[in-house]
Order: sequence, then C-alpha cells, then structure tokens
Amino acid sequence: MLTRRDMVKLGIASAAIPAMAGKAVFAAPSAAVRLHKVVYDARIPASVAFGNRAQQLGAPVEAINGDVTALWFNDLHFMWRNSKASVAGLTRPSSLFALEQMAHLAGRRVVFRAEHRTQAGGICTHRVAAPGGFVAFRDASPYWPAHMAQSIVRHAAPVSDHMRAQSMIAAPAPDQNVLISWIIAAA
Amino acid sequence: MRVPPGVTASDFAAAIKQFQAIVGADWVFTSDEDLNTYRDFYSPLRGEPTERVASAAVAPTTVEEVQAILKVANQYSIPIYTISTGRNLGYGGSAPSYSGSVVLDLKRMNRILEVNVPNAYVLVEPGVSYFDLYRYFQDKGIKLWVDCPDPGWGGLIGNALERGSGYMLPGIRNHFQAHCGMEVVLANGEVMRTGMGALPNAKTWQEYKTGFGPFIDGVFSQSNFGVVTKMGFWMMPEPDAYLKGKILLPRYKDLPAFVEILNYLENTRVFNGTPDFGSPLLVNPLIADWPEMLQGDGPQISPEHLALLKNLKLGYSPELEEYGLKNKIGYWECSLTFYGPAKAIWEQWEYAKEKCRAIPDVAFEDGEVYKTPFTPEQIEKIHLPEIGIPSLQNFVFGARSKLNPNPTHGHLWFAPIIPRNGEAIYEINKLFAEVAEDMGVPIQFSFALPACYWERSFIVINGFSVTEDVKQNQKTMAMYTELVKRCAAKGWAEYRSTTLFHDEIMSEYSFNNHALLRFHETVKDAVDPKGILSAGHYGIWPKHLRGARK
Ligand SMILES: Cc1cc2nc3c(=O)[nH]c(=O)nc-3n(C[C@H](O)[C@H](O)[C@H](O)COP(=O)(O)OP(=O)(O)OC[C@H]3O[C@@H](n4cnc5c(N)ncnc54)[C@H](O)[C@@H]3O)c2cc1C
Repeated sequence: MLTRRDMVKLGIASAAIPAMAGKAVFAAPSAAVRLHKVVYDARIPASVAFGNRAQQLGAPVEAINGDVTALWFNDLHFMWRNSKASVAGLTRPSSLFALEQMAHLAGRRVVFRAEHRTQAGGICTHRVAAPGGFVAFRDASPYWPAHMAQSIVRHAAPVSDHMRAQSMIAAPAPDQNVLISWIIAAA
Repeated sequence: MRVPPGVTASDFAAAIKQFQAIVGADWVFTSDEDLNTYRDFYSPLRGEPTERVASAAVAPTTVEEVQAILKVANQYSIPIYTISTGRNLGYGGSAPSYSGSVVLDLKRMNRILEVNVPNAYVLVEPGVSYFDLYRYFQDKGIKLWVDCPDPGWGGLIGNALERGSGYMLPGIRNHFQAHCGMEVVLANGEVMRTGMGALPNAKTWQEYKTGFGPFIDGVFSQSNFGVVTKMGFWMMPEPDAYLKGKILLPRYKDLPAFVEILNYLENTRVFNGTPDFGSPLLVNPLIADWPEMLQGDGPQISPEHLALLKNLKLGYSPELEEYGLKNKIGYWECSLTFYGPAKAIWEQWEYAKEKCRAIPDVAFEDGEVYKTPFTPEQIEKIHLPEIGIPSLQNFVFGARSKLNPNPTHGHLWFAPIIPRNGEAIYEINKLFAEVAEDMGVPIQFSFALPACYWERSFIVINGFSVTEDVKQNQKTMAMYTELVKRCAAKGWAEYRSTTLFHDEIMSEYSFNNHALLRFHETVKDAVDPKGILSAGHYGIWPKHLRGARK
C-alpha cells in the first residue's frame, strides 16, 4: 500500500501532501487544500470498490460512465473557480486524459498518478509516477482498490513493508486493462 | 530558460521582462512544468529531440496587450505562435509549428461580447469555448444552438481558423463559413476589422460578411498573417423538431447510385443535417455511434459474421454480402438528419425514402420526431453535437474496446478531400490498402467511409495511432507522407493536418510552379516582414527561414 511517507520518499504529489499530512483529510480538512470529490467509474468493479471505500471514509463521491463531461460541466468547472480543493479518482486513462486537459485550463495539475495494470491471470501490478519515470509498488491483495482509496483519502496507514522502489518504467499506455488512480490539485 | 532559435539569451530575457510588464509576471510562462501544458499531447515525436516545443508562453487579456506583445516580438525578432483555446489535438495541439516559438495564448480573452437572439449571431473573443457559449445560452435561457465539433473543449475562433466542422446546418457546421466579421491584430500591431466592421460605427458587422472590395477573411484562416482577436458567428436558432432516419443499402456496389441521390437531397435541402455513413456488415460505426461503440463492449455479432470479416478484399467478399442479404444486415448505412417543423421534416424524410427506393432492396429505419425542448431520455439517444450540446464523450477514443484492440497515445488525422461520388470511395480505399501493404502499417478500418461535413465533397478521415513505440511512430509518419504523395497523384489532398505535415501537404498544392504558395509568401513578406507570426504554419515560412528550409 502506498503511504504518505512513500510519496514523500518518491518526491511526488507535493501539492497533495499537505492535506494528507498525518491525519485524515476529512477529519481535519485544511482550508487551503481539501478533497472535494472522489470519482469512480460505475462500469468498472475495481473503480466501484475504490469509490465505496472512499465513501465509507466520508469522502463525497461521484460516479461516471467513462465520460467526464457532466462531472466537469456541472461541478468541477465551478469548484475550480472558487476553491483550491483537490479531486481524486480511479478511472480509465482516457477519462483522466479528458479531465486533465480541463484541469490544465483551470490552472490545476495531476499531482499524483498511479497505474494499476491487470496482467494475464488477473494479477494487478502497480506503479506510481515519480520525477523521471515510474516506480513500481506492490499490493498483491484483491482489495487494492480499497487500499488505494484509503491512501488517497486518509493517508493514515502505516508504511507498507512491501512498498519498494524498483526499476524506472516508461509512460503508461491507455489500455482497457489499465486503471489510473489520481489526484488533481491546484498547481 | 529555453531560448527561441535565432534569438540571443540576453534578447530573450529582455523580451520576457517586457512581456511580464505587459501582462503581469503570472501570465508569462517559462518553467518546464508550465510549458509542458503547451506540448502536443498526441505528438508522434513526443519526447524525441525533434518534438516541437514552446520556449515560453504569454497570455494577454486585451487587444492592447496583444498589440504590445507583437511590438516586443518585432523588436527582438521573437517567433510567436498564436492559439485560442489550444485544443487542436490530432492536428498539432498547442505546440508551435516552428519549435521554440513563444506561444501567444489567448485563452484569457474569453468574453462573449454580443449575443443577438433575433438575428441569431454572436461576437466572441478567442478564449470563448463551446462549453462557455453553451453555458451562457443555458443560463440565460437563450434558444440558440452552438454548433460544436465532437470535443466541446475547443473554441469558436480557433476551430473556425483551422476550418473545422460540426454537425448541424451546412452553412453553420462549416465553422469558417459560419463566421461573419473579424478583428485582427496585424504583425505590426495595427488593428483591422473585416467586412462591414471596416465601417466605423458599423451596424451590420455580424450580419453581412463581405463588406466592400476584396473579401480577405480567408487569408487569416490556416495561415500566419495576423492574430484574430474577435469573430462573429451565425448561430442556429432552436428548431421546432429533430428527426434522424437511417437508410440501409444491401449491396457493396450500392454506393454510387446512393451518393447521387444523397447529393440531390442535400443540394435541394430535403435534409439539412450532416449525413453519416457506416457499415453494419463491416462493423464500421456511424460517427454518431462512436462514443457508444468505444465505451461499451462493442457490437454484438455472431461468430459466423466475425469469421466472414477475416478474408475481405477492399471490404468485400461475396459470402459476406450473401450473409448480409440473408440476415438483413445492411452493407452500408447512412443516416439523414432533419431540423425544422415537426410535420415538414417527417414529410421530407418520406420524400428522401421515396427517392432512395430506386435502389433495389433498400431498407429504412424511421427515427422518431423529437420536438424541442427535448426530454433527457431523448437527449440520451442523440449524438450531442447534433443538437448543440458540447461534450467530452469522444475521449473514450483512446480506450481499448472490441473495435479498438490496440489503444494508443492519440492519433494523427489523415483527411483527404475526395469527390462526392461513390466510385471515389472505392478508389481511395484501394489506394489505402495498397499503401498499407507497401508500408506495413495497418489502417483503421478495412474500408474507410467518407464524412460529409462539407457540402459537395467528401472527406475520408483516418486516425493513425500514436504509440509509445518510437519506431512504430516513425513508420506511421512515413506512411502518412506516402499517403499525401499518392493521394496528390490522384488529384486529392488534405483539408487540414497536424503541423508536422504542413510543408509536405502544401508542396502538393503546386499548380503552376507553386503559384499559390508563392502568393502566400508574397503576402507574408508584406504583412509580417520580420516573420514573427507562426512561422511555417500551413507551409508558409518567413523569408529568413524559407531559404534554409528548401
Ligand atoms: C477525438 C477528437 C475528435 C475531434 N473531432 C473534431 C471535429 O468533430 N471537428 C473538428 O473540427 N475538429 C475535431 N477535432 C480536432 C480539435 O480537437 C478541434 O478542432 C478543436 O476545436 C481545435 O482546437 P481549438 O478550438 O482549441 O483551436 P486552437 O488550438 O486554439 O487553434 C487551432 C489553430 O488555429 C490557429 N489560431 C488559433 N487561434 C488563432 C488566432 N486567434 N489568431 C490566429 N490564428 C489562430 C493556430 O494555428 C492554432 O494552432 C477532434 C479531436 C479529437 C482528439
């Protein structure tokens, strides 16, 4: 499982980290950086599991069906104007791509990006974007989406023994077998 | 800090300082992180040394700031690349044609200056996106529809200057044709208005296009002769009703006869939306069905049908045709869209069907007449840009599905214009197949169907995948080059392309020793002698770079 300490070690998500520092984001939201919404794709079981866990942890969640238009048009467009809150999700790369473009236009950035690739046999490998490339991390549990939600929403879990930096890998390809967990925050 | 080619570091630093004084330090971008957002997200050269990148970006909010920026650019000979909303994906994105240029980003100039409901027009600044205008209409209850391309994130001015398209009435969906009046800042900083706008205190700037004397608006599209700061556009008033009907053609050879009928029906305005071609038998979706096909599990077809798709020649086999006839699956389908009074459009559809009955065994799927305002359930069933609703649905394009087994990092659009007849459709597919075989690069579909955005001609749009694999991307680019050449040899050429191919395509428009390009260059030298604006865009280079290029 990816913890805040791992993220600090990797030098990523600098904008997202203050909100996660040590305590539950929703228990003690910072006025400056707050998690506004957690997005999941209702068509994808892993994403639904991610959304469910985020909701259990008290996060406001929103389902999409691949298309992010309504989410952006009715909500994020206004939120990004008035607040510095973050948005997180576990979606297909194509959904994130469209949202990321709209985020750029509003001066927001993807500050955390982890790729979850389902291999033949159903095993999921994980890697997180870090300066200079991707770093693999392990979570062999079938509950990895819930762990991911927890890492992103709460960041209260202890440092995982499994988490270790491996080789740098190239950028992810958009792929039906790939999901991305992400945080978009004020740059 | 990156420095544009041909500019000294000290001059660039001085120019940046002056840009900051003009727009404020927050709106001049020089860090790698900020400039990353001006890369072409679909570039096949991404990460390569030859990738075209910006050296800085500057984002003004007023015409006066644009003028001041151009003055500084002239003073230090800084190459500038203008974008409006900068979403030109598939055609170069926000990245400059001439690598190292400073992007002049007009997104912050985003005012809707005038909306005239009775005469159905708007006057907007370059940063106004389709979403912005749609939101404005919704918020104010204005019953005008904004014609948008598939992705709604772009803007009216950038898209029109690229001569992009949408889906509604012919004169409206051709976005350049839908414009009426421009304001342009010339390279020397002078502000000019076209059409009736040249008349001080004009009362009809957005109502009459051509003014008096030469109609010069065209030279500011797909070019680098000025920075457009305002444009008027004709909008479509909300019609009484909408109807879409489908025509199913059973045989491979039905296209020529059908296209003749289609042309007649369009040229006499029996239908007035964009016709949309697909092939149920070849499993080529209608453009309107793309989002659904790409998001879901794809079409459900029988194993027998699937097997028959394996051995086709130019999308044909007698067995497949036989299978289609037996199972009543159209070889081709074409949907026609009608906007107008409910009663009238039903009758127009009836008339269209009557004309099409000249084709043996033709079949029809009647749509329903939807009266405005539409219910949410009706909206669900309509391809949103056809009713003026911008969306991002199409970005499921990159996802893997049955139809798209090898998803990609984006695509390059290859879009030649061909004659509006059925024979040309077979002919271009023959050419695609030959080139694909020669070059070893797969094409998107076993048979490419034309798009009908423009009246009187077809565009055949092929999306070539951009991947992580550098070698594969090189092959794709070589294939693109080959297609440009071989299409030109047939008398066809592209209407627009990614910036990487502007020179190649423009060089094919070579009648009388490149008289057209030489004219562009004459204009360029006259209106932008220092060549600061969008060097190389659409193959038009300023004098000082022209020699080096040749
Ligand atoms: C999946 C997908 C589907 C697409 N479907 C369509 C479609 O249906 N129809 C369509 O037309 N396109 C389509 N596109 C292409 C593209 O997304 C749109 O055309 C988009 O609207 C262009 O971006 P923009 O409006 O932000 O223009 P910009 O990127 O701002 O401008 C485009 C170009 O015009 C010039 N320019 C812009 N502003 C100015 C100015 N003020 N002065 C001088 N020159 C200027 C510049 O050279 C610039 O690069 C599609 C792309 C994708 C990825």
